[in-house]
This record gives sequence, structure tokens and C-alpha cells, in this order.
Amino acid sequence: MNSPDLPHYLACAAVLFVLGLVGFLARRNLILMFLSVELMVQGVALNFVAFARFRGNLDGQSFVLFMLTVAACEAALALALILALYRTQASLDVSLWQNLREDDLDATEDDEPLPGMMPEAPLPSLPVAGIAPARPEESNRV
Amino acid sequence: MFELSSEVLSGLALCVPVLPLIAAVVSAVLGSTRPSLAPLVASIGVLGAFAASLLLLLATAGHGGAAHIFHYGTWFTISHHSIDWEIRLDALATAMVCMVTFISFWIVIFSQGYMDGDLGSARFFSLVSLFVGAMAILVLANSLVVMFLGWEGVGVCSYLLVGFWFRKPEAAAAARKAFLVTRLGDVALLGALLLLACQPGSRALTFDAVFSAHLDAGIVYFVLLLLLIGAVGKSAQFPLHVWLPDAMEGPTPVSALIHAATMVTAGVYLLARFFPGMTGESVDLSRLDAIASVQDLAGGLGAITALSAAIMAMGQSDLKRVLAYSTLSQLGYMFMVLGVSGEPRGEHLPQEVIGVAAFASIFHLLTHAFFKALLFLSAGSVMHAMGHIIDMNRFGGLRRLMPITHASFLVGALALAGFPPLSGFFSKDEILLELWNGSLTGGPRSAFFAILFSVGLITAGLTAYYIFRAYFKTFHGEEKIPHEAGHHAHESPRSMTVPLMVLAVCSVVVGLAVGPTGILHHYLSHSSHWHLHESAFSVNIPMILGVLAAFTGVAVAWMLHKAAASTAKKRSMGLFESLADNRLYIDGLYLATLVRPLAALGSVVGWLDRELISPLIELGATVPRMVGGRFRSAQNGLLQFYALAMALGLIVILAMFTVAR
Repeated sequence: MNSPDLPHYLACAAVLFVLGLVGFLARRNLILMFLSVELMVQGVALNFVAFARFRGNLDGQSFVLFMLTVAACEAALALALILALYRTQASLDVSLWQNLREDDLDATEDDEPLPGMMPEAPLPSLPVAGIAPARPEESNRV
Repeated sequence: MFELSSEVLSGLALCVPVLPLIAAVVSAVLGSTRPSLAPLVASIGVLGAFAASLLLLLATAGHGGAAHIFHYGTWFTISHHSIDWEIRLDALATAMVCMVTFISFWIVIFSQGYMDGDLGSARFFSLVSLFVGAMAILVLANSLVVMFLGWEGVGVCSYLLVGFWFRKPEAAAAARKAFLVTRLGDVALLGALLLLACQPGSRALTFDAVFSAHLDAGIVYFVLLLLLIGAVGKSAQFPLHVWLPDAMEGPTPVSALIHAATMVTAGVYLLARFFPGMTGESVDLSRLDAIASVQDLAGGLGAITALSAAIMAMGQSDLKRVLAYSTLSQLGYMFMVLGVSGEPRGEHLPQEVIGVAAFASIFHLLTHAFFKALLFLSAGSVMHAMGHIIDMNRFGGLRRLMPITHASFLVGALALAGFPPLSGFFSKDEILLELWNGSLTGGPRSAFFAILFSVGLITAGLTAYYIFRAYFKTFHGEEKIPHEAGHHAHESPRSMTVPLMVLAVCSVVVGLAVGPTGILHHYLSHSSHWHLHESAFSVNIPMILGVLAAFTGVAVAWMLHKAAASTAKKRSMGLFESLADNRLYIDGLYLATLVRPLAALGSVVGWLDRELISPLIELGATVPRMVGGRFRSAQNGLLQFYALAMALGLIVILAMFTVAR
């Protein structure tokens, strides 16, 4: 067995992509869906790198750098949105947001609720960081 | 009188329209911040225009000959024919523009007092200046297209100034009516221009090109007919006269300037140029016949207007309305004499007869401008003192309270009634004389002219009656002041009485100075195509008849309204007054025959649109709605459903690629 060839890389990338796709379609948790998207992105990026390696130029490599940058931005945006959504419904279930459907359609509801949703927990309140500042001494003026 | 070089003349002529236009812009711009400056700017602009036109008048008074044409630039070019910014300065245009700027100047001065304290006074003065500029363009233009520009310009200014108090619904409606009714005439005028532009000879559309072109008699007939309709609209003659009485909703100086002295006379001016001009250089009988048949129409409409407006004026209780109908009636006089067509008379050529008739109408136009502006401004002065009450039943006996206004109104009334030797006497006599002469030729139209003459004579009597009825009701009898006047019932301020005095002096002097002395006749004989012969002033039969009619009218007015204003006598005028109140039912007729049927048609069409057309369109819209309905359930708002659809779509596309390969 020699060093891996191009089809190996492509197969690996395809596996990553399909895993991501299935995760995106099957999962209900917003964060997990987001991670699945990241997985798909990485599968595509792997394709780029593999082709760049085997074609002997750096186009794909440089493109991946841009992809990573965009993915980082997207991650920041997506997590911010997820946080905002969570604040409105106190849940990460994606099916809670179906407001953009046609007016005359009923909301789709599951026959059986999702098992093992996140327990309702209050958001942690962060402790005050650092040392309490020393209060200035009350000067006793005479 | 003195010679000026052509460059100086050209510059002066340019000043006449341009200075008021600049003043209009400046006073509009300044007016928002310094409204008190607007009257000053406007009066300077108009005074400059008057000074320039007076210089032009004096400089061209000495020598006759061809008109001066000054070129300033090209407006636009269509297939080798350019429409130029050119001024055509002949005797008629100069005299007219002199009168316009002179009267405008004094009216601007008067307005300074009259409009004092009005919030929109800057707008008022800007519009008045704009009007003077547009009127100067109308009068001075060499190209008919530029003249049309001025023609529309004065129409717009009239609209804006009639509706000056636009928050008052009557004023807004009157402005709309004035604009729409005159528009009918404007469309006809535009038609005349297009017809001329289609003829090879007159394609350049300048006055000289049109007058010297070889046109068919049929074309001449239709051009003049369309011009006549345009003039009838602008000058408010019989079928299209309904807008002028309503236009009295505007401020009184506007009525004096636009609806008495200047704009409404534009139609007369146009016809006085075209009837003699279209005769051509040589005697062409078919062409003269075409002109004569349009002139018959002009004379007939003028006669109807003169008589019916005088009758309507007799029963009005609104002082300004009396003057408005009087204006209609006097314009009718001018149209009547324009109807004197060129049947060969004695040793005179037809062209000369038409020229003399045009002269009579222009003479009356000029004198009428002075005394009618005077009458309107006096009425404005009364209104100003009476707290904007204009109903003659609400005030009376003002002669002691407002001596200057009383005197100037009396002078205007005497001039309008045609008392010798005031200005109206000479010009009205000229008109009656032309009609009289026309009826004596024994030609086929002499009976028609005899009818016109008798209408003119009757109207002269009625004119004297209605104006003195208004005079006696306003200034004589028991002193009555409406409560709206409050404690302000007093003579108007100096800025208003001085214009009254100036115009009163002009009303007395102008006719005497330019009529019997032959100055105007001599001067206007230089206008192109007029072919005037020198004629000496003499006492004649129509003059005596006219004066008798005037005296009769005043005597009747005296008996009915001054001597014994008993209620019984007033009752006897009941029929007249109800006829006049309803404006001879002409407005009602238009309402019944035009406005209501059109409104009914509109509602039927509206119903068809709502009930028939709309459902059809809706039917067409159901197909896409049904097709769309099939797919609407895909839009269920579930994110993962969409993602699944995308994935499946991708798979389908990939499969298709694979199969295709």
C-alpha cells in the first residue's frame, strides 16, 4: 500500500460531506445542524486541497484559506443568531421556527415529541471576575 | 421723433419681455425671506419694460416702412426650419406693448396697497411680473410658435392668479374653469399653427412668411377659423365666455390687468393682425371670400356677446361682475368691427376696408384698456374699504366717504358709456362708423352690417345704463356700510389713489389725444398689411346716434336708481334680474348639455370597468392562482424540508447528467 492517491482523498471528502448532509437533514438541534454544515464545508475544502496537491498548483490551497475565513465569519454570525433565537423560545429546536410558511398552511407538528431535549436550565449567572476593587477609605473630615 | 441705431433698438426690445421675467424670478426667490421687497422688484421690472417700450415707441414714431426684426438666437430646429427667438417690432406691436406695460406698472403700484398684509403677496407680485413678461412675448414675437409660448404663458398666469386664494373653493373652481375653457381655444390655435406648418410656403411660421405665402383659399379659411376659435376662447366671446365672470374670484388688480386690459384682448390683437394680413399682396377674390366668411362669424359672435353680456350686466348685484360682463360686451364690440369684411367699397380696396376695421378694433382695445382698468381698480378700492364686500346691495352712498374713488369711477363710467370727449367716445364711434359704412355699401352683406350696427347702438345704450346703475348704487343714495368694513371704511391709501388718478387722466385724455388728431391712425398706418388712408375726423350720424343712446341709458339709470329708488320700480326689473342672475341660463345649458352627460357617461364607463372589465381580468388571474395553489403547500416554513428539497434536486440533476452522458 502506497501513499494515498487522489480517489482516497475524494472518497474521504465525500464521506465527510454526506455525513454533514445527513446530519443537517436529520438533526433538530440548531447547534448540531450548524456543526453539520461545517462538516460539509470541510469536505469540500478537502476536495480543494486534494485537487491542488495532485494537479501541482496552489489555486485550491489559496481558495481554502478564503473558505476558512468565510467559515469563521459564518460561525460567528450563525452562533449569534442561534443565541438570539434561543433567547426568544428558550429552545434549540429548529421546528419551532416555521413562521415563514404560507398563511393558510397549518404549522407542522411532530406526532411524538423529541426525546432528550435540553433540560430547562437557567442560564448560568457568571460570578464577578477578579478581585473586588478596594473602596476608597471614607476620609473623616473634621 | 429721434433716431436710434438698430443695435440699441434691438437691446431695448429685448428688455421689454426680459426685465419682467427677471423681476418674476427675483421676487419669487426673495419673496420667501423678504416679502416686503417683492413689490419693489416687480415694479422696477415692469417700469423698466415700460421705459424701454416708450423709447421704442418714440424712436419708431417718426419713420414708417417695414417692421424691424431682431434676432437673438435659435430656439429649436426641425428639418432645416428653425424657430428663432426673434422680436418683430412694428407699429401695432409697439403701441400694444406700451399700453400693456404702462397699465401693468400702475396696477403693480396699486397692488402694493391692495395686497398689503396678504401672506402670499410675494407670489402675487412674482406672478404678475411673469404675466407681463409672457404678454410682452405674445405681442412682440415674430414666430407664431414663440407667440404661442406667450399665449400659453399668459393663460397659466391667469390660472394661477385667478386661483390666487386657492384655499377658497370658489376661487379654485373658477381658476380651473378659466383654464379648461380657454384651453379649448388654445387647442384650436395650436391646430392653426400645425395647419400652417404643413403648408410649404408658411413652414417658417413667422408672420411675414405666413402673410406672404401662397395658400389655398380653403387653407386660409380653416386657419382663420381655428384662429378665431382660439381668439374666442382667450377673449371670452359667446360660446366660450363662461369663464370670465367666474374669474372675478381673483384679486381685483388681477381682474383689472388680465381680465380687462391685457390678456383677454390678445384674441382681438391676433385677429387684427391676421384678418388684414391674410389678404395677401394682390386682390385674390376666393381668398377674400374665405376671409370674409370667417369675419362674418367673428362679427356675429361679437354681436351676440356684446348684447347678451350687456343684458347680463344689467341685473348683477356684484360690482365686479358688472365690470366683467361689461368687459365681455366691449370685447364683443371689437369682434363686431373685426367682422367688417372687405367688400369693395367705392374707391377703396378690400384690404383697406379690413385694415380700417382692424384699426377701429385696436383703437377701442387701447382706450378700453385704460378706462376698464380704471373701473376695476376703483371697484378694488371700494372693496378694500368695504372689507372685501362687493355686493352692491350691501353698500351705497360712498361718494363722500371715498371722494377720489368716486371721481375716478365716474370718469371711467363716462368713458365706458361713450360720453364726448372721453376716450371711449372716440373709439366706440369709430366702431359704429365702420359698421354704418359697411351697411351702406349695398353689397350682399350690408343687411348683416346693419344688424351689427343696431346691436352696437342698443349695446351702447345698455352699457350706459348698467354702468351708471352700478355707479348710482355704489356712490349715491343713503350711506350704507357693511359691518365687515368695521372702522376701516375710508378712502384708500396713497399707493392706491395715485394709480386711480393717473388712469383717470389717461381715460380722459388718451382718446382725445390720439383719436381725432389722427396720431394713432398715422402711427398705426405703418403696421404691415394695414393699408390705412388718412382720414379727417368729422361729426357723423352714427356718432350722434351713439351719444343719444348713451344719454338715454344714463337717463334711465338715473330715473330707476337715483331719483326714486322705490321698491315697485325694482320689481319691474325682476325678469331681467333673474335672467341676469342665471347668466341667461348659458352656464346651466352647458351644465345640462355637456357637463352632466359627460359625468353620466363617466359613471357608466366606471360601472362597466368595475363590473365587466375587472371580473374578466380577475378570471385571467385565476389560472396562475390555481397552478400556484398546487405548489403552495411546499412553502411550509420548515428549514429542513427546504434543505431536503435542495438535496433531492441535486440528486435528480446529477442523475440526469449521468443518464445524458
